[in-house]
Amino acid sequence: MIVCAACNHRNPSDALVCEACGGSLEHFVYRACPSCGALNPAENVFCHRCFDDLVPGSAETIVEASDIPVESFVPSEPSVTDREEAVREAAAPPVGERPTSDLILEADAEVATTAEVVSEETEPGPLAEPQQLVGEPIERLEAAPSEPEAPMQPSELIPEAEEDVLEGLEGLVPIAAAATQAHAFALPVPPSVSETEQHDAELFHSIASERGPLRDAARVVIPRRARLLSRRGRALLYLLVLLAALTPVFTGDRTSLLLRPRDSVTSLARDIQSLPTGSAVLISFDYGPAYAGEVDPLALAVGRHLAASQVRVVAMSTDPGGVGLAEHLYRTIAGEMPDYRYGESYAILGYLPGPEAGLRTLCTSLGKAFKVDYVQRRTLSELPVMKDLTSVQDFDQVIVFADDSRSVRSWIEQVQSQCNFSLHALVTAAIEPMLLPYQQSGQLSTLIAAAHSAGEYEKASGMEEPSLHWTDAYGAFCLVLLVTAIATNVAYLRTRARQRSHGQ
Amino acid sequence: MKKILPMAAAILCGLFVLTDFFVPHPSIGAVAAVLVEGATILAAFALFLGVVNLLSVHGRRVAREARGRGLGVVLIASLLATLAIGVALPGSAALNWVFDYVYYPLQATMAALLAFFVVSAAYRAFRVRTAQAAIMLVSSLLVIATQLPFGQAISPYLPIARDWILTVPVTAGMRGIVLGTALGTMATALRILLTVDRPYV
Amino acid sequence: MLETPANLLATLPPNTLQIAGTWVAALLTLATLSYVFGGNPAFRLAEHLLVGIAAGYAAALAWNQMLWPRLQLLVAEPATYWYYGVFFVLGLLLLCRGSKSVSVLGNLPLGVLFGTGAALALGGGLTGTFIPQIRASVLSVNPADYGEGSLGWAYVIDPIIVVAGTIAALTAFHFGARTDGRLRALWRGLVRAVGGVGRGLITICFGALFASAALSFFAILNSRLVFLLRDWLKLLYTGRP
Repeated sequence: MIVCAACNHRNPSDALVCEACGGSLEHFVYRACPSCGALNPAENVFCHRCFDDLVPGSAETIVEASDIPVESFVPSEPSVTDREEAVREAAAPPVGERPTSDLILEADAEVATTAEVVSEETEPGPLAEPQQLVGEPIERLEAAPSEPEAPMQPSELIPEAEEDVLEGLEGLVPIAAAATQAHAFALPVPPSVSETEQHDAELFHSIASERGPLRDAARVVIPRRARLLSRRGRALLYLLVLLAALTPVFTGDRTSLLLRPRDSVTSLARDIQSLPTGSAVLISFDYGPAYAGEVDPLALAVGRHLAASQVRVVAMSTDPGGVGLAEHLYRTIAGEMPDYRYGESYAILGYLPGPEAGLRTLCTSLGKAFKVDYVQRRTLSELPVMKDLTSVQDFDQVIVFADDSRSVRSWIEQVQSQCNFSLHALVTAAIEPMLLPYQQSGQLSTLIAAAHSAGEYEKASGMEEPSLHWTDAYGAFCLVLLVTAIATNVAYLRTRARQRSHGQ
Repeated sequence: MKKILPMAAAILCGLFVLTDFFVPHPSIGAVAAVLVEGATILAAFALFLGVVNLLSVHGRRVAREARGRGLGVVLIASLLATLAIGVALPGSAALNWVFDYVYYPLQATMAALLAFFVVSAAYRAFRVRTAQAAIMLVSSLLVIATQLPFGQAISPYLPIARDWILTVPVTAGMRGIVLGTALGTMATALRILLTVDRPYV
Repeated sequence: MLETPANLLATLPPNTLQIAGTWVAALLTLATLSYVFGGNPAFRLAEHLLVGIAAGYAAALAWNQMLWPRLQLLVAEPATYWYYGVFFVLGLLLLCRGSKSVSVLGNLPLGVLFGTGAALALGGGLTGTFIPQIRASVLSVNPADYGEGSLGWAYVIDPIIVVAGTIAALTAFHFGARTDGRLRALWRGLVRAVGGVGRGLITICFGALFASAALSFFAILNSRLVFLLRDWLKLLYTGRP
């Protein structure tokens, strides 16, 4: 069988193209033995492991005995072929009943027959000439006839034993092995080979039995794309970003005093302020710790405002990390307000997996979505804060903090479109543009990008001691991006001018 | 049978849930509610499948003594430790400590790294080689400038400009993208329900 | 079993856990930020730690919130909650996907999951996005609806841009303009022109998305630096959190 060099598929010996990948088999490197499956170099005509024909019907070629390759061979189980069976049938009774000389002559006849059946390849490969086969001839093969015209029958070779035909042939023929082996067909054990031959044989065996992909040798080196920015340039850029982020340390964050709340922020603060005492708000913390640095300040500002307004808050999350963030946030608020107690003022229901399916269950009943709360592991009916709250429609407002537009879209598609309620989305700046169509269509009551909205919300909600928000850093970052844009275009124009002048 | 049963399950479940969107019948609603809640249970099992896969991949690496097995040990140990604490002591101070001081800083800082790389990406993206690149450069700088928190102090027109950019051209473009995405999602869902696509077989 | 170490920790001086936690968080933050200089063992350790903890945390939540309470209900009231048993069996079959020899058993629960998910996506997409967004795109382009005279013309520009922009952006995704027929050149040209405008509009959107994403990541970097400079340095200099 011919092994395709591209895909390792084993094709029939007469195949011209690979059956699996369609590649040409003209320059194949390995053949697989049809009997034992071992890989052999293309030039081999019989398997190095089991000595079976690699190409069926190759009995016509006459091959020099000296060209048959040598292999360190330990006969295990003889592979039985029709030819071997014929030879066995012609074999005489077991050892002990016939003269040894007859057995030797039979062995020679077998070798001669073997030499006859080794044939030329039907499709010559690059190293098809039998004369180029690897290995040194075994001495015993020199005793075989050089060009037998027809297979000699064993019976023809058995002469009348009048004298010892082995006289003078001691050491050349492995008599002991041939005489003592079991009568099942087995090739005689070759004499011990030299170290070089052993090394070559082992090397050949390891290569031939390697089952790794043949494509490795055909690896193509793709030229690496030239970097636009050198290492120093990148380092400088990173340093500028770091300095921009540290700007408030030097400037004292003066620009935070200039913050003016946007209309959307003011509108949300007004909506929350207008909620009567005892109303209920559902907050979904659909963001993970990755974006917590951006969203947490706004979530804390809104949470504090809700707590101060004595509004019941029920928190949940469709993101595993959101639950921990909710727990941390409300632990902070509860630490600031001793009267703000879990179970009475707020509760954390926990994590709802399978975003679309999980949110859909909120439409039917909260009890179907959450069996127990996250902190105290009590059923929802046991929590005072959950009084009269059975489904999402019982809440006065629903606020979603999100870092992924799919999460907000799931809320709109699975919940808001089925159960009509006011949905406010407080999201990361990265996804705000993606949700603008939903705000414009009225499906989102509020859409706020969190980046620096915490400070705006604190001003809009009238908090007395707004926290530091490092707004100077945003200004510095804008400058860094502007400098980057200018630098890259200046460099580009200079490169183009240089290329043009070289071209001229 | 291997293919027919999953296909039949997909079609039946899909039919009930889809019908529930448009036909407000109590029986259909009840069956759909059960199926949807069941899907959340299966989603939880799928999460466990992911964890099992993670353990087997890194476990094999550790057993094979391959390169990086030490890190594989760290991953497996941290996974099992967090799982043990989370299952045995849910909502406890120990789990909160792991979340607040290990999980949170790691994930937050991974995202913070992107601030550096987005600027080096800007160096490549802001090259005005084509008209489209020029449009992208101008729109990026405009949006950043108008998003400045103290923009109103610089000029009262900056917030107006920001609102206009976001509510008119960006909304129009994003609506086209949202509609295209919705069409693609619905087409894919329809292919699954009609068993043209069978990713579960 | 785990309560004993928790009790032991509670006997330590106050703020010990907070101090230790701040140190651990700071070191992990610095190890992760070191990736700016290139890959290194500290970053790879942080990376593997994150993956392990994130997976363990999510699995623990899924067990505590979804599976264990329902299992308890199934055991307590099997007649009422028998369907939980069905889904638990399906879930166990789903776990067989992890092994090649029995992965075919996971096809049935996957069929249920995909069928339900596809129906939710189709129904939700149609009723939650497609129809409402089409309805929102139907804006009047009659200047008289926005005011009299030049005021109406001034205010109608925005709706015209929104409507035309939406159509142009959708046309940008059109790849199969018919090329046969008498008006083929005109049609092809029209699609190309409108699609080109749409592509320009989409490029403006990408510019806005890029800028917003950059601001977002910068805000996150800001917050980590605030932690390092405010919480960790304070601990370094004062020894108190």
